[in-house]
Amino acid sequence: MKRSLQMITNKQLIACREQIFSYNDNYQVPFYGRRKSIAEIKELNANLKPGETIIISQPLGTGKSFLINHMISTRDLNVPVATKSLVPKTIGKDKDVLKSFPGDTIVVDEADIKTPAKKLIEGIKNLADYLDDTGKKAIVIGDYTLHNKDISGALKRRVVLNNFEPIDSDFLRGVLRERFKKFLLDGIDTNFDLNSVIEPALIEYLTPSWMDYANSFRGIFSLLQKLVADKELIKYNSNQAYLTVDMVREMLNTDDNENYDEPQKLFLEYLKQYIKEKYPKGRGINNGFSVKELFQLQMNIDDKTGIVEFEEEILYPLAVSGMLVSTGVPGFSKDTKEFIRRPAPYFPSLELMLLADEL
Amino acid sequence: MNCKLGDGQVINKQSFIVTLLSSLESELEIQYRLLVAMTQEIDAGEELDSESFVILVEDTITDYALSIPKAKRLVEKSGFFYFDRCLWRYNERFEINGQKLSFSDFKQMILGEENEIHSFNNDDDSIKTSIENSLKWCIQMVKMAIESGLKGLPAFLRCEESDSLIGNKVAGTATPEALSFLCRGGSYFEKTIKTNQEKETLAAVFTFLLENTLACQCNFVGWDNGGFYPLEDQPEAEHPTIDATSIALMALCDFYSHKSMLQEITDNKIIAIDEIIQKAVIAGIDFVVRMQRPEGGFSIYQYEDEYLNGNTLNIQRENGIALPNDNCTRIIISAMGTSKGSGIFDDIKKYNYYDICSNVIKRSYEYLTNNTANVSQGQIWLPYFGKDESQYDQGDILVSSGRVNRCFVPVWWQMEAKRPEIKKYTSDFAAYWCNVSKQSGGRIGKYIFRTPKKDVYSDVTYNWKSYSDMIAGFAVLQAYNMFGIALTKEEWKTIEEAKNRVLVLQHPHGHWNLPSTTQPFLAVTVAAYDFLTAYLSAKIIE
Repeated sequence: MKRSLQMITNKQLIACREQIFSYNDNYQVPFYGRRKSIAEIKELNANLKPGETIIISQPLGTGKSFLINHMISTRDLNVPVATKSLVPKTIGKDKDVLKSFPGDTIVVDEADIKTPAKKLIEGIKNLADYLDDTGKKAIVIGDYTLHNKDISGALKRRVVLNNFEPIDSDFLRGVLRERFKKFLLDGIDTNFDLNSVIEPALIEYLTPSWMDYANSFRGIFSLLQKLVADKELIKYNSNQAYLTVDMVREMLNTDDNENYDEPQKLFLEYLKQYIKEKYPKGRGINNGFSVKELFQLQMNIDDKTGIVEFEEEILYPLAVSGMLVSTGVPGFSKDTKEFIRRPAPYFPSLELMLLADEL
Repeated sequence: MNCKLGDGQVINKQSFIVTLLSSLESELEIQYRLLVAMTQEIDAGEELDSESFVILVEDTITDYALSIPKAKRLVEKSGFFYFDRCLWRYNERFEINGQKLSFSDFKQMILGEENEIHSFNNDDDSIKTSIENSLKWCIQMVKMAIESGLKGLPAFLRCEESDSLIGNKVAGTATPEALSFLCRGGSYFEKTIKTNQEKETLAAVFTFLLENTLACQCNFVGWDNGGFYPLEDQPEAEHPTIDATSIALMALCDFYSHKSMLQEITDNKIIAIDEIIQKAVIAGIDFVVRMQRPEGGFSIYQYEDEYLNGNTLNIQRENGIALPNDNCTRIIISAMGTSKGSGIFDDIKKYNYYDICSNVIKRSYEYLTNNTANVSQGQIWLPYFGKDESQYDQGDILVSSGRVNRCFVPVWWQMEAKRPEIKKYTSDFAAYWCNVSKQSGGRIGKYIFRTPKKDVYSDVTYNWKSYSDMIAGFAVLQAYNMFGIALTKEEWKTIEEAKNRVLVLQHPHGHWNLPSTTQPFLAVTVAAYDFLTAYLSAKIIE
């Protein structure tokens, strides 16, 4: 098909939106970046002793599994190409699955709060026993849960990956450029300029430096997918596609507010105002919000709500729905044997920040 | 919409929804989604403790800021589930109009609510409607591809208010698959295509699919000549593959044998040159012959220096990547059978191609029968001709063995002496399917493979999912319709249950989705069509 070398039309962008802004493994997207992580993993792996485990503990949706699968496919790890990772839930249920994993290094993914704590602990314990018995090694991928010794403590000899490049604007640009090239430009290395499709300010908004370690590709790409799917904002025509900050704001503003209960809506409105006044453009939110700080805001709205109720009915739901990003290490209750989920500190999500910034 | 319970009681959707009790519409939807998810979880044999419930809520309600206490309240309010001794359980004492509602009835009802189109009132007419809707949907997708200036159908489709295409790259299997599929709709088109504009549209659809199927063929002189590329279906492929070639051969032969009827329906508006199709089919068969392993089986591809004396792929061969597999071996048998029945060899007087195809069929069949796996019900086929049933997921076994069992028609006609054997294989499989379905029906199975890059197979593993109901159901019904195998009451029950599940899965737009996704998928739609058509034929025979 004959296509302009540079101009991307709305029609083309709409057609390829799931592929360009993919955040799961439904589409084969090109790998980009993470050179430091790769170098460190290679080094850790080369020096890994029998029974030891490399821990990759980063937030959900940041590309950990993609990185390891990429390294397996490029033969940077001594894991047979195309081997499917095991998950703690399965290992917990049947430790014999470990025997079927080929090679000396076992890859375990999804060691995160998406797995019930009991099953996660069981799975990790079975893995630890197996490593002790066989002298094999492992790479365990999960979220900040793995920082919790109650969860991952069974793995006695752990080495933790330190380098995991944050999603800054250069990283995002590189990822997007590769994807545009693959899905819309026939893989040809043209003079394609990302700025001709996405307003530079939008890229900056999506990658604030204060959010470096809390940001996720999932968050960014789900927002961009939603924008391109908005038929009012992006018309199906042959005009040049151009995504802007204002468009995202318009989309978020026209989103129905039906997804929140009244107390949640009131709190969000108050929080937006608070962010705008105290942390314009997010400046200064370096450590995120504590529960105490947020509860103080709630007290200004309604002093009858207790802190437990506030955490259960407002904070947790906002964290699950993505308006707040929980960056704390999930706790583990020894009484209930369950996670204490989505703990503080919290950061405002990209959506919340964009809305707060326009007040 | 009425839902029939196990004891024959009929309740309608409205009275069912009222039982959910929530007054707010948004809450009603959340409550419903939670009940569906909990039913699926419990039905899959998972224990739903309080933390699993929290994860289920997080995974299910992604667009609403729902607190866990509220989620619990909504579920408890419905009365269908209660929390007791650390687990969520179905309330077996739940009654509707004084009648106890068993979990199985509740499951049928709640899972059946997912799409408006399907109801449990699935008489023959509604099955026919379901089948026709799938053809209409396919036509719509092809028209969209024509309007978008694509050179075929893409691999991915999107379902919104109306469906649309994802991406701008063409899939080398979706395009011929659509051609084959629409060739099966002849009698429906005869009935519905009346106006000149309808005839022109249909002709444009067939012309487009034919032209772009042919465009996937490798015309370079040499080893790959005549094979068909999978293109976007397997982006890493740098050679034609067995699956893409078989599907294309079947599509071209299907079109060739239906051409007169289709031209009659469209007033000869389809642009199709016989000589081009004939030449393409012959070249395709020559490619297939080159791809056959000395032992008779097929894998996704065979490199020129791979086998027997080649050493390029020794390591991959040791790892089992380059070995023959059940899916490629069986699909070739079907493709050779369709080629023989197309009339092409007679038209061009290349009668020796009957022998060539028959030889491929004979050797492939022998390879299949030499590589069965023993299970308590008899002999079946495991993925990549494995031997130990316990090493495989039952969904994978069902689709693997089901696919092999659907390829026996050409063998049935070619080798009469093998008929008792074929009847035994298909009966064994029917019994196996029935037994697995007793534990849990509606499994999803996968076919995993790698595609041929320039010199080695891809690093990327392709993982194609299918509904075992469709694949196994068709295989068993075909055996009943064509080979006359006897089916037990239990096996009929399995077929009926599978048919209900398949109907439930159809989207109001007419398509079926790729398993575990909301993406319309042509291959799954075709599989559902085949199963439902075979079901209707069986009912007439019955």
